[in-house]
Amino acid sequence: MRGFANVLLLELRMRRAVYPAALVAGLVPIPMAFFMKSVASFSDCVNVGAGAFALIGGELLALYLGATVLCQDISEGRAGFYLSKPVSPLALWAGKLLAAWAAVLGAMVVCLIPATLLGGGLTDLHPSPNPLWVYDLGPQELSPLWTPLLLALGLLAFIALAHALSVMFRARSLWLVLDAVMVVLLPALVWWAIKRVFLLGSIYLIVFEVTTVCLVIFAGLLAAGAVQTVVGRADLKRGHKALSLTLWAILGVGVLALDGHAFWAARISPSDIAKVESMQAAPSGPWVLVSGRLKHRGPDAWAGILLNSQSGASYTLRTLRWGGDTVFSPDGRFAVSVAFHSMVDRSPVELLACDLTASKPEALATGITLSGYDTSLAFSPDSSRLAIQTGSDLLIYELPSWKLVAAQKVGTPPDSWRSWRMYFLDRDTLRLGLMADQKVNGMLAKRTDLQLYEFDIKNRKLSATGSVASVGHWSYRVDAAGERFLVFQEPVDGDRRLLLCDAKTGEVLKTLAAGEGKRSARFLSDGRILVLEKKNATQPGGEASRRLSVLSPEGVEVRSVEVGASRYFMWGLEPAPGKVLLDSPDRIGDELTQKTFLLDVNTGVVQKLDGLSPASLFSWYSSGPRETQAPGSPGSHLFIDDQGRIVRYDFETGAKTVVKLK
Amino acid sequence: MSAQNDGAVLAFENLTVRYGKTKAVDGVSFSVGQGEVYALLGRNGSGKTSMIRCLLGQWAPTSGRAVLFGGDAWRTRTEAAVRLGVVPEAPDMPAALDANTLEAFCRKLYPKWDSRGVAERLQRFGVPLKIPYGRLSRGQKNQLALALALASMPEVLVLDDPTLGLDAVARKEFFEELVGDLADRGTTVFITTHDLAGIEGIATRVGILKAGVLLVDEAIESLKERFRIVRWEGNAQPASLGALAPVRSTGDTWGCEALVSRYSEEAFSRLAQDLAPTGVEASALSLEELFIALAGEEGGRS
Repeated sequence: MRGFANVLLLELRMRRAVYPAALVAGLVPIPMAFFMKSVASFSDCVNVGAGAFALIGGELLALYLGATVLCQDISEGRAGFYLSKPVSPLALWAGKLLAAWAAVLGAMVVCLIPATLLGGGLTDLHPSPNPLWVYDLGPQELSPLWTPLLLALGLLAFIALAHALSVMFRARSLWLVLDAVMVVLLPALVWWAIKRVFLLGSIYLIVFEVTTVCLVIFAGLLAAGAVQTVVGRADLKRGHKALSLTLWAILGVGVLALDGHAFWAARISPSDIAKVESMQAAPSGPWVLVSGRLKHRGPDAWAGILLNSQSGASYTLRTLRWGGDTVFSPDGRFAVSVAFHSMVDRSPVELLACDLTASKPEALATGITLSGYDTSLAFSPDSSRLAIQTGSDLLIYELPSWKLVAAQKVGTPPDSWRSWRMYFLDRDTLRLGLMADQKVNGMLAKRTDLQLYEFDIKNRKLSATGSVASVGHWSYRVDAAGERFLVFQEPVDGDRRLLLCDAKTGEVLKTLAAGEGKRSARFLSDGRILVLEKKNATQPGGEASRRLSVLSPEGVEVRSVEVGASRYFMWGLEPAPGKVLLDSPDRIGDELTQKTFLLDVNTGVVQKLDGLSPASLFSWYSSGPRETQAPGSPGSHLFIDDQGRIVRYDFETGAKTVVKLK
Repeated sequence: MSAQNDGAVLAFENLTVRYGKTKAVDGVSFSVGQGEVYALLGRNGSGKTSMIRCLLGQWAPTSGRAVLFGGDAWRTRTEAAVRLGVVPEAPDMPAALDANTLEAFCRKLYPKWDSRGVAERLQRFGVPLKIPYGRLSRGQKNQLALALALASMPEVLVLDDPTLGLDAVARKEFFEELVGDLADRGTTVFITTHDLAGIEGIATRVGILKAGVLLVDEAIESLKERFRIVRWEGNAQPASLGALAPVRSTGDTWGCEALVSRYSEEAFSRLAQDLAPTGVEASALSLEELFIALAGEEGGRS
């Protein structure tokens, strides 16, 4: 201890020159601020300038001291001064390292003194105690000491890193080959681990892994420097060997442990889902995509699992999970998923396909790469073809061979945001509805025309077939036969109207509703039309009762039903012909109130199913506006109960059977 | 510690040091007893500094070991350093610090410290106390190093070519200082030097290294006693010369000269009889001549 303290004090004394230099650097922003008055206030200029000098200068000083503090002495034969004294090598390493660290921190503090006296210092610029990296990851109010503490530890790591690099390059030993190999190999292993947890969409796990890597590197660098000094002493080559073996052993074990953790975290079975949060059903067949938060993997790890609700068979999708990135074929045989490998917008995505009839379903890469988020998919009614829109390209693939049948460019207005809606009329005919919001004076117009096209796949011929003016997004819904569609027309100077149109030409067949009031509409599988109209709430933001109108396929109202009050409604599946589910989730703060209504459109009877949330067909990538669900499909009987379990509901008896996730 | 080193303050046991494929020290073994002044001589690159590094526990031997105060120098370096004073070959103190600061640093590390002795010695040699070490002359640096090495009253003083780069006056002063101190304390000294004239009056034993191999390890008086240069006229090579154990000999038609390593009056008399009536003479060697004869190009183990 005596040796350590003496080395520390002597080294601090030797670094005295950094303080006046730091003070000069801290004074430089003051005259600079006079010249930059037009850009920012005097105090901001001084604070930013001093902060930058302190930060950059501190890091450079840390690198310089790290590279020279001990290694230079050894390589130039001056380490003997300490090594011939009763000072242990460990005390020598610790004393020199901590003295360099203290000198760097001291210099940074001295550099900030003028700014603190004149401009308020850095706290004036960054009053928030929460650094960006802790946002939404836990305690929201961290001590304001965290940032300087991490900065200080980072500088210590910088010094140790510079020392390690200095040893590696000054020793000129063959161990540099090991260093080079590990410098390539370990980041690859770290990337492998991060990539695996990245697919869980968990920022928490990524931060955990990055933090673990940083801590392992920190510990490895400190330990390696210490071992190098103890084992190598004045022999730099021997020290290099000790440093490399220690550093790479610690980092290797740490990174392998991290990889093991990542492997475990990403190896998910249905029983790892803590609570099912969403369930997407196939239009027919027993398969559903179950998504939910995972157990033991932090607060935000999320996974999607394809589950056969009847047999219990499952397959965990290795795709970035935000839910809704899978599309089922109408016959329930195929599931295709859009696999993100990056969170960067416009980065390419890969299409994975899963044959759900296989004995062990597995999502396989199709080799089809698509452009980021601008992608939509539609299956043909017989599930033998898949249309893919990606950017302005339209691609038609044959299934299950994944042979490209046709490819077509679809011109869209430049400088616009477009929305594609497409569906197969039959195996050889694809219909497209293109909505493009043109910018007016750089701002997006709220609505535009719906342009209708028909693509003859056999002849590869794209024809414009009609249009509807001023339609609202997402309101385009086509009946099961593909003959008519519903759309809301929203003229700038007129009332919002619900139109029944010819699916090919867009010719208005009938105006179903007009005037004030919020409405939504859909077709039933038998062609009847349901219109849900929201009545005025008794108080702003409060619950409003709804009126459901049942219209014949021709648009004539045959029945009107009052539905219970709720703030939101979403259309659900048809558990039986003539019966439809209405989903009404309502979240106030952290509290979720789930109401579901079963409507018998033939009798007008409304049944309330409390605490049950129905499966949906929703997918971000399913652009098909056409009704494809087979009434009474297994998925229409599946619900998420208020405990996050999947239950099968018997509409005859009201019995609920829990579908076990195993 | 092996039996042969019983009572030795420091020893080398089959010490070998390699730098890659180069063998700097090759299986050297010898020991130094308490109070001895051992001069390890050798040409540049003969392995002297490597041995000192091993002795000071700064360098791990490739095989064998250096022993200090009965313990493995590599393992017991920190404890042994308390009883050790070192003057290095090259100045190694921090250049920015002055003598006062360096003395204060060293003083805190040793249980015994003679601050007055340091001050007197530095004053005597005119070493400024407040000038940074880097700005001192080479002689002043060496005197400072010696002053600090002696201040802890070490049992063993290790001097690695301490007069390297000093002028004749400074070398003389350095050795006088050393002799004075040794007379006072009876410290064991292990010294490597090229200043053979300077060490000749101080050293009690000498070792000569050549290319990492120890050629000689002997008391200096004994060494000087048994080595002689023998010269005679003519080119005869009598059989009796073999009894003197010639290390090397040269000759031409005018006369011959041989370096002998086992000189005795009796053997010399027999040689003189064999060469009579031709004249023959034997002359003693200085340490420097002896060193050149043994460690020079033609020298070898004797």
